Amino acid sequence: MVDMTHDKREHDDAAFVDAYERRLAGGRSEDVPALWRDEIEQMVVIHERLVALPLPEVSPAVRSAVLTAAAQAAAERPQSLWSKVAEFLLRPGPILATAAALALLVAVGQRQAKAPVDAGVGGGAVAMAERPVAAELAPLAKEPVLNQEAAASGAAAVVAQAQVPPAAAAPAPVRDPGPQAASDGPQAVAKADTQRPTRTIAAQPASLAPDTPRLQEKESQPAAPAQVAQGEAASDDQRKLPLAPVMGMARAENNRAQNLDVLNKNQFAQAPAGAAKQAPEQLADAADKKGNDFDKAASKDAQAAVAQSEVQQLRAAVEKTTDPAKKKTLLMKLRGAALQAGDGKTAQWAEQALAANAQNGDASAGGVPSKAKAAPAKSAAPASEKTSY
Amino acid sequence: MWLLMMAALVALAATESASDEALYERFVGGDSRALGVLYDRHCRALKAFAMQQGAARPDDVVQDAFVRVVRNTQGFKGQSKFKTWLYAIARNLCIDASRRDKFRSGPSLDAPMGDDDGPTLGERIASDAPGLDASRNTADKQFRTAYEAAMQTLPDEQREVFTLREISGLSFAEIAEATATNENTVKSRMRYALKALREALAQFI
Repeated sequence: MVDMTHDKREHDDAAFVDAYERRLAGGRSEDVPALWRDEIEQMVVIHERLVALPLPEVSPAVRSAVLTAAAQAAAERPQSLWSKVAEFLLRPGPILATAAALALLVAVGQRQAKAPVDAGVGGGAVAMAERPVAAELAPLAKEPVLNQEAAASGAAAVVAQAQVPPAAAAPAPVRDPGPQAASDGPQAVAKADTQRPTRTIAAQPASLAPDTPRLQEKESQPAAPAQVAQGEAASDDQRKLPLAPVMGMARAENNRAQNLDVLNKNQFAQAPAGAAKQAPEQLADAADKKGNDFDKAASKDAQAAVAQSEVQQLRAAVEKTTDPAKKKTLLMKLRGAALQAGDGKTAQWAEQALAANAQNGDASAGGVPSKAKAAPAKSAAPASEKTSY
Repeated sequence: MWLLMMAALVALAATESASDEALYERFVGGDSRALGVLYDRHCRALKAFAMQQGAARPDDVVQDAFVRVVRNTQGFKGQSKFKTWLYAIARNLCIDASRRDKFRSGPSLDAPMGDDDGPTLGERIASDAPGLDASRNTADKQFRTAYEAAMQTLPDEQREVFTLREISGLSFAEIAEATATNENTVKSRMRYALKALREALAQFI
């Protein structure tokens, strides 16, 4: 009970002192409880007069003694001026201020270094260029790529994202010699290659690669052993991407284009005669339709060249042969070959020689008309001329 | 580097406005000028406190207190304010001096000098202080005399609290820490001191 009274009294004392302090701090007298108002106002007056009194001065000797003691204490802890400054500057405040200033300078410097790049290729390109290529290629390097074309398309997409110059990223233009040229020999291939415009197989973006008909057709067909070998090579290239990403991807894209052309040619050559005309349509997509028309023309040219060569061989054999029976057989073959080659004049010459051989029983080579003999080897007579003959 | 130098110059220029703790930290770091700033900031209030505590030689209390501050750098932990630590040192010095004076046959500050109606030694010291203007008006002298007399009538605890609060400017929490007392007790002592002084100085209100 006594303690409670004591506590209450202390509480009242504290409240009184707090009210007095608030009044001294500038509080209004109206805010002071009415019970203590007069007492506190009187104390405020005393306080103001007390504060006005000057404090006692201290003898200068005391100051000298204190500073002498301080100097002695400092002498006991010898420190150079630099150590003093360093100790002061190594406090948290100066350190934080210096660190903030350095960070600001570094940020400004980096921004200035980036400015020309931004002006040149744009912010998006800069963002793509800042992306590490190894991070982009990591999934490709980890997973074995079974589909060569998909891998090559992905590699081409990564090359495009890595901002590689077009000359290095895009595969070299691949000339498609046509499906028939593969079966006609190297000369016909070279001829067809020079007589028609080149067709460039461009790298397709990765986002479009799975949707292209060429890819779907390719996936549905069994891979040849050589193709599998090249696919494995491409897979090896994919596994080596982190080491030589740009070169490996360009090589894979080039292999993909070459394998595609070889596949087209093989399918066309192995297909039956009736299906030969439909094979290019099955292989080619809408974008390659014009290129396949050139393939048809080239195959016709190659066939004509072969037939003309056969005609010349038969005619030379006819001129050398003196046996009427053998000569008749050769003339009949020559006439057929000339008709097949579209060489109407040679066919006419063979017909005349055959008739003379039949009438005279001995057809000599000197009886051959000189005009027909000088006929051009490469006469491309139209079909109507052949039928009229 | 220029930024570091600028920071150093700004810090040196801000010495006068630096906190007590920052100045003492600089003194511990070797800057003796910082201690001079601290001394000039607190010496007079510290002497007034020593006088109110009944020290026979308040200048000696001031000198001893600052010498301890200089030599006992490890004593300041930074957990409290420098002023609290300084006044705690001065208070202990006053207590020690008061104990010594009990066995000393020297004159008492509270005893009237000369005849019984004359001023005490403490009043003489206060009035002889160099800072006091000789032409100060009579009212201030009378108030000072009445104030000194009223302070001498207060118990030591109340006089101590009142001096630390009104003269030295410590907060009640700091007074409680310096005197190792509860804060409410300090406020209670303050209220009784205020009440006694109001009654003693009623003629000046």
